[in-house]
Amino acid sequence: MIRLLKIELLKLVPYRTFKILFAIYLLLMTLVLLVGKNLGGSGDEGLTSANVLGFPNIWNYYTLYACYFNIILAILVIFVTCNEFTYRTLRQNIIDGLTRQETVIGKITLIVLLSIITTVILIISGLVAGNIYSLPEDRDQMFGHSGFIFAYFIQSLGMMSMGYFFGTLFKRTGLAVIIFLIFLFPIDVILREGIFPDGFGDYMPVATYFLKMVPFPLDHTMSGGLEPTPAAPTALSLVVGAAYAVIFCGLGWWITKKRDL
Amino acid sequence: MIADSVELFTFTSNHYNLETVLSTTALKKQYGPIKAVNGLDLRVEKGAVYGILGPNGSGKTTTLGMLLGIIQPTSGAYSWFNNGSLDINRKRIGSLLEQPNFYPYLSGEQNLKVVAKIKGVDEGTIDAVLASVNLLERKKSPARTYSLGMRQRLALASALLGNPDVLLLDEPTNGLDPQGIAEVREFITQQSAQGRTIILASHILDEVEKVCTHVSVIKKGTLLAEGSVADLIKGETQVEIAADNNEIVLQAIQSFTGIKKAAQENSIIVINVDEKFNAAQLNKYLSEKNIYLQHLNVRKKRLEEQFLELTAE
Repeated sequence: MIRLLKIELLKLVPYRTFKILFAIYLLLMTLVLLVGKNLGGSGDEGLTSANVLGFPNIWNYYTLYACYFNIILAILVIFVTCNEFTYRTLRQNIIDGLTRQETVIGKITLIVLLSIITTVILIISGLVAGNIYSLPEDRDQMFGHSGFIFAYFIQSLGMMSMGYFFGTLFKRTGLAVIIFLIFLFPIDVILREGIFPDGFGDYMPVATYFLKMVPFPLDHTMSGGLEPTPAAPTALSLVVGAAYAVIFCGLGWWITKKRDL
Repeated sequence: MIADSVELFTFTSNHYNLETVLSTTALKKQYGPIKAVNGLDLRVEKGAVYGILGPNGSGKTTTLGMLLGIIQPTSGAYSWFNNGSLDINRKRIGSLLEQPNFYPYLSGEQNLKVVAKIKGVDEGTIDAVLASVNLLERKKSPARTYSLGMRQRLALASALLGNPDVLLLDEPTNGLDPQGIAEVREFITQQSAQGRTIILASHILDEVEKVCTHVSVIKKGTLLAEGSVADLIKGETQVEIAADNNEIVLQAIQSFTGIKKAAQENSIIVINVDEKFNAAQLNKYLSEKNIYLQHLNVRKKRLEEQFLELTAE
């Protein structure tokens, strides 16, 4: 497994698009924390910087926005996956001695590694920002609501697995990215609101990742702190989110196994 | 484990010269109604330079694709090193299938690092294979800046990584200039001299004739002929003759030496002859019987013509 990951890193690290997209990701991850600067106020009610970016609510809000940046990483995974088809290197890797299964496992280990890295980035920058914005009495709640960190990890895995699946299915970068984006916005909404409006639609992949796992906490804050922000993602949303990651990777594997390359 | 099996391989090869490197049984690939490969039976012995000759679209690349695990056969089987179709066999095969495939943004050296990792080969051998194809000075340049000939050489270097027992080359001279073609042929001869088995797919008869010891001819996925190049290409000579009355000629030549078979085709008699045959003697012999030929033509290599017809498409 480590060998497969090393092969993937040999391909990825010198890839300029990777460097650019990852830099954009890092930039967004840090810049989004600056919004707290202008929220102002030091009171303990409403949309104050201490309420939004202090412990423990920062994990609700930060993951909420950071989730969207995972779209960039999912697109990166699409690039990396489609490159193997465009350059015909998936075929070459197999000719050189990898099994089809190993090519899939290589990509999955890469996705897991990137998810770990992004989660670590989230934790470090979250801790730094939390320490800056928190009211002194909230500092001891540093790891309150930390279930959302885990949700973010699952969401990273799921989004990149989705990218892997779309990349494998469509093979061409442009096509895969466009269909991925269409799936991300209109299709999921149509499925959710139009076709499965009652309950089930809320657990379509995109809804699970963006609405269920990291629910929008604004209502709770707007109510002036009368309602507490949710302390943890629901177990069901985590299970469903993880299941989708497995399904997307599994489908990618199934396609790779069946297809002539 | 791997080291053990390699040792075993060399041990047996010292004791038996005829060792099968590759065999296929009724190998078939069908795309809808089209039979790309239609029941191929091939057998490649160790040490051979084995040519697979056929026109474009005859199923050569599809066949090699199946042998390398990237195309799923519809039916039939193949076996490398008498070890079935296991994935691990491919680590003993260096291949160049159609055009060379590389990560264009990686340097030649970085590309070979990927291959070395896949094959489980020490990275220290990369410089040596790059040197053997004269690419050492350009090893740090991205592969996309390489000329076609350089990319072909990089692909050959990549095929050599891990010291494979077999080199499998598909149209290796395609698109190269005369110098590039000469280099690739020289490369094949060198590698063969070092004891590697070479399987070469080509649509160029001349190429196969120059470098191969064995050849199989395929067309539309079907095996037309298989054997040593000496037997197949330099084999049969045919003589065409015609006179006013071919019936009489046919009777007259029955007792002439060196004739294996004679048959009338349209207005011409086609005679298959062996090395004892002499055309001048035949002419004299017939004229002594008061038969005068209107047409006498010695066709040297009938199979060559057949090959050329095949490859002319």
